[in-house]
Amino acid sequence: MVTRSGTGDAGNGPERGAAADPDSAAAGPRGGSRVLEVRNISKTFGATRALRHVEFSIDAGEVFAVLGQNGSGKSTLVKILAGFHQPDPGAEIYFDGEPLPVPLPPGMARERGLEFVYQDLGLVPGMTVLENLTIGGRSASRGGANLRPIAWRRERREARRVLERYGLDLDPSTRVFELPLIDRALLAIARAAEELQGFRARTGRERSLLVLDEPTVFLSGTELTFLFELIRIVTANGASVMFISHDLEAVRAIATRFVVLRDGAVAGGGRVADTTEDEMIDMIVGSARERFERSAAHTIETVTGSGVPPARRVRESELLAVEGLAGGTVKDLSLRVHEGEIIGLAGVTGSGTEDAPYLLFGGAADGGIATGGTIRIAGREYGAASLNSAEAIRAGLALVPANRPRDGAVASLSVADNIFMLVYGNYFSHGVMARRTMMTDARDRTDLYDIRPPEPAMPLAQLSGGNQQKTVLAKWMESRPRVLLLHEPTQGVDVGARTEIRALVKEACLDRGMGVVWVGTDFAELAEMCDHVLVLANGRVVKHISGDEVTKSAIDEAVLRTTNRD
Amino acid sequence: MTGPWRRQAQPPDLAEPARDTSAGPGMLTLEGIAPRRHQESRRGVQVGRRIEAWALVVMWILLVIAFTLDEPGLFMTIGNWANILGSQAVLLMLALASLIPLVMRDFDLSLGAITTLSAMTLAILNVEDHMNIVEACLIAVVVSVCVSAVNALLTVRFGGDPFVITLGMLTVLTGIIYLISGSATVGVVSPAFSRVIFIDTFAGIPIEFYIGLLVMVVVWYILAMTPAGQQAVIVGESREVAKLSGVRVARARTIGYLAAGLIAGLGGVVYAATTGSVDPTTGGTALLLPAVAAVFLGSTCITPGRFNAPGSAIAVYFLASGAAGLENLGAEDYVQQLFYGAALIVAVILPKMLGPGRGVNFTLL
Repeated sequence: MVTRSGTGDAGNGPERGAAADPDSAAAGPRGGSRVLEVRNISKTFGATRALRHVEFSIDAGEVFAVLGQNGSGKSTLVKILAGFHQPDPGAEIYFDGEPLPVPLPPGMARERGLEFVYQDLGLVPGMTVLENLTIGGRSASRGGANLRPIAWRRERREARRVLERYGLDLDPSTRVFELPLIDRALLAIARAAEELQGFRARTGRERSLLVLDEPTVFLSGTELTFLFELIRIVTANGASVMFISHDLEAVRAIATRFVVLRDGAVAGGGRVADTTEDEMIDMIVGSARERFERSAAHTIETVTGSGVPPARRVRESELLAVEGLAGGTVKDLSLRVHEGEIIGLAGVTGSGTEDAPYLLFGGAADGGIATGGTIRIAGREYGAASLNSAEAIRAGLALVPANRPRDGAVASLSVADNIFMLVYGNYFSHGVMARRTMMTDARDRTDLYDIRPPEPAMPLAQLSGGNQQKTVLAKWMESRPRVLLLHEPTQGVDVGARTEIRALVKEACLDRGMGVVWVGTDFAELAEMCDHVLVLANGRVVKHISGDEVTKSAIDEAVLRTTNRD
Repeated sequence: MTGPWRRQAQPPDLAEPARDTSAGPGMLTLEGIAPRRHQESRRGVQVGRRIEAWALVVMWILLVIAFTLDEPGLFMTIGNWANILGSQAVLLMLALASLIPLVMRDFDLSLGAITTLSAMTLAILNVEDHMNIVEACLIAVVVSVCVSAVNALLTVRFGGDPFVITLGMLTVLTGIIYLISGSATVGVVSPAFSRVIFIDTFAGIPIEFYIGLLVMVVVWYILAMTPAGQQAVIVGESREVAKLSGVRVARARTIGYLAAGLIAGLGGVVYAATTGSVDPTTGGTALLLPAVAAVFLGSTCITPGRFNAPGSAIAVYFLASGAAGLENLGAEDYVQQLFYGAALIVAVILPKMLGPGRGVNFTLL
């Protein structure tokens, strides 16, 4: 263990100025202080190139950030380093000055002193802190050693010492599910750091690298300081840290140098201290921000803009009013939806956008339930905490959930059954189910919503993702909703169906005055569809973008600037 | 421990200097962070945990006291206790057998039938074929393990649903037991054998009690004290983590099924010795369900929220004491059923009411 005094320095030292430019591969692979150097990493999935000639290097003892938006290629990069993905031929990876075989055999990275902590943390909730700390060693145990007794008492003492060393005050006998999220994250990181410590002690090597994949997603500001402190301890102990994030603020606070990925390619990088926040945003989003003007501005203007026909303006009344909604990751959300309006919700994972639609709908399996707030639907007020989905439907809400196979549709039932499951009662009279009428009607709906093949009796599972999603939409349209809640309605859907779904939603807004709350991570789509976009961070609305300002770049920038702050 | 890692020792200038504080109040400096709060609550948590761990034992003691006061000179007698402790050996072994797959979230419904098959095999070999009792015992146990090997092959190797596969196996075995016994009771097995296990006592309690106890200690040791047991727990709690950390999941599950078959087979041997003659109509679910109930009940004590061997044993004897006490009171047979069922339901639901995530998380994987 290193006993460097005082400073768990993340790298403000003067000696680190030399290798400032992560783009340069000028220094040789044996360039003294390098821990990791990757060169020419590309990855092609089918027709899409997830990574294009990515190059950077990480110095000893520094915190190096990899920045980028969703889909910029960050995860692919991590998976290549972990050995889950094979890079395209030509890639070179050097670790501690030595070339690593490419592709990396699974598990090889860990043997060489690389540890990974993913967003899911890899902890077992039902097991204790101690048991989680020791999973690695136990799992590797073989043969006779498997039956030798574990000295629980001694291990608990040691675990307490190790945790203390990382500044953690946790009881080793606590089961992990009892810990708050921040402590789970810290535990997972401490565990990985301790593995590296063991690696260095075992092999006598000095270099090791801890890869943190989006560790800040669920953490609040205060909690972040705990994370940073732990990272400083880790680097003070001699490991380097690769910090993968889309959280600008966190990166600026903890990293020495950074590289930005955009559309799979390196879009910039350098020393954090020499780069302004604006410059970073430009690299992440793309400097030609003006390029992303909303393409469908004219369609929206007919609803809310200056060009609204008078007849429509009269009809424009409030459909949904949410006040102080709280629950899950949502802390305090208020919004209004008027007739014919599409309201977008944007934010990173953990900002509250993912829970919001479910809370409005009386709580979902994973989103938890609302703890406070009121929901007014067409003039009638409900307590969000006591609302259940049956009431929500009766009040005129509909929800197209993101997880279609689990929450949205029953794959084993027919298309017709899926479409009419909310209104079965309409086909039941005199003790008989009028299946034939239902099938005829279903045929009508498959035409209306362009569900292909137009075979209402076919099990939904046999349809493509896009057609399944159109079926889910058709199902909710049967309930004639006043307000439609959409969560990632076009995710995992082919391009054609995506356009159709957008058109269907827009049509219902224009024709029937239906209101929409659209939660999505495709900001170009939000910009195209929405009249207003609310940007959420830490469960609260931090920015309201409306009218002509609703552009992809505006949403991008607002999300980046406000990521998860108290 | 003093050193650079103490939170208090961190100089405040570690954070980037000259930060724009408008981004969040005091966010990126280390000043003003409230100290972490675990310390003060820890004692209370530990006490609570201990109470939960021993609640069933306390209940058991209270039950015994109540019955003793109610029927002095009847409940607290050597004879009654020899009966309570001795009569449950087969049930205990079957509970321990079911426990092992359950730890890994596998479920073996056929274990009760395996016990009967083992007993029947022993009886037929010994009584009809006049085979030496030791050899008969060995063959009975080997047959049991073979049946479990088939279970393991179908579930672990071919990915069959444990519930469905072992339900099928239970039915098949029941048929086989009728087939080989000609639907008639087979007996009497070697009286010397019965004497050793059932009649002979140590400290007034039949030897079979100690056999069950020994199996319990072995299962406890492996599950709670060894890396092998930890691997089993990891497999049960998160198969994904188990795979990613290098646990050989398929191997662990297979060993689990085989160990369960071995213990159920041994249970059959004890069963044959206890009853002397083996009735093909007993066994199967009639044996298994109380055993599984005991395992679930046992998961609420000693290490609450986890299937464990001592807990299972305590549950078996808690239930047996209750049943015996009620019987002494002159209660009808069905009261015992009511007691077993109610105890199980209450014990499993109570922890869930204490908070989310508590209690055993039982989802077949």
